[in-house]
Amino acid sequence: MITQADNVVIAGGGLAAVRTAQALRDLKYPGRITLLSDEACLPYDRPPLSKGYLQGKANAEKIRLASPDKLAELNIEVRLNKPVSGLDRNERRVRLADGTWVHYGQLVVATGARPIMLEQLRPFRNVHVLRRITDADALHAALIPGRRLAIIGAGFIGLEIAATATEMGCQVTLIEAAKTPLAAILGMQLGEGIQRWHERKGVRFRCDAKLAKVIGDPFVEALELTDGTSLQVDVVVVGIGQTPNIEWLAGSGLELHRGLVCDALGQTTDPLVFGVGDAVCCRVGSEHRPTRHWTATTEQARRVAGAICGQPETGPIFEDNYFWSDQHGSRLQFVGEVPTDPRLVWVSGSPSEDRFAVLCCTAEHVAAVFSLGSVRDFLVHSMPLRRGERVAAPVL
Amino acid sequence: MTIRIRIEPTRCEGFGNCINAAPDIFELDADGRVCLRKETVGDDRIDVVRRAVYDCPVNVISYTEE
Repeated sequence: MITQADNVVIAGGGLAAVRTAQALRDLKYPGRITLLSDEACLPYDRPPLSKGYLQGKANAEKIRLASPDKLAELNIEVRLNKPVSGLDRNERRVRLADGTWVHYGQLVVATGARPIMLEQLRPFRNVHVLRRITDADALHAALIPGRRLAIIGAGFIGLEIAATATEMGCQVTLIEAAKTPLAAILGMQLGEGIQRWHERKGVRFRCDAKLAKVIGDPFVEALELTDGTSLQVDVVVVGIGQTPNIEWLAGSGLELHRGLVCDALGQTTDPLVFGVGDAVCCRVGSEHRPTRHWTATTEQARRVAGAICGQPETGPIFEDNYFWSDQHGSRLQFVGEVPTDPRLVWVSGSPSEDRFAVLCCTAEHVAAVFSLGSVRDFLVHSMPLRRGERVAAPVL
Repeated sequence: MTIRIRIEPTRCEGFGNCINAAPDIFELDADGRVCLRKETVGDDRIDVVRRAVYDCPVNVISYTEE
């Protein structure tokens, strides 16, 4: 039986950490809940950092995940500036960077991920990443109207920043190694459609190109690319992916592979240690799926809270790979997995318009739904997929 | 025990995660904002209500137990 003497420590201070804590209190968990955050401010939501916050339309308080009053009401303690540096599972304690230890009854690993940096660009002063609020503050200060911004990586972060910076009056070029943006997720045809849409909004692309050489010191002045072209720049952003913050777990005996390895319920091989969010890689059967998206994190948080409280989720757990991305004032939404050589069935709109909804089908089934600015159509067509139902592909 | 659900439709952005969690409880109105098909449900639905609460990116849904 869980009592007030029990104690959950959550290593982390972001969405995964806060939602796990809230879910525990929802389930009436009576013990202590302590978050160990390595940041200097209370937990906040990250999606606004590449949009409204970056534009200066929101502040730290507006994007906070829980107010100090709410945290007090729920009796959730958040310790700021407390990065974790090690784990001793024998003694059930977490080591902080200052050398002190925090004992746990149960531990939730929610230390998230950090952006990958290109080593060639690390020494330069006008190169940015975007993950934390401090990154957004620095980037906001750099995005002065008229400045030339090069973004390396045309994934979601890159595309969102491109849209925001364009709106802020910057001249933006995206440099992407693949032949189109989002090629790995959407396939070539839809990737091209997104590229054209961005181009209609004034964003430029150099696809099938990587960074070859950096010109300038201590500020980057130009980038020479592998396609033989050169780009004059004032500001550079690197958005090529993220890596999980799990170095602190080295030597703990927990399995680490593209993240802290957990099952679908967020459990590790240690019954007292759980994982939620970007630090986690779920192993289901022989598949490894690193956590990447917002609702995947909130759902993991609920499941882990249930497991800790002895009320594990019993229904089928289905990872629907749902995500959204807000760009140029429109919402992209996606669910499923685009097959190789998909048959595209247009529900509404088309890639040459500024809104559309499309079904990506194999010969038999709808494998993915993708939409731009089409909330209703997305909702109708995505629901069965999000429940793991098989939907027959429309016959033309 | 029943669950009473509350929403703040003015802040809704039409993500629809709530409808995905419980299409018998939530729906989108003509403006693409959430509205409730039922204001109270039995506590056997608590799991899907919690899912709707947690999956809402703009925190528009809350509930109380009565």
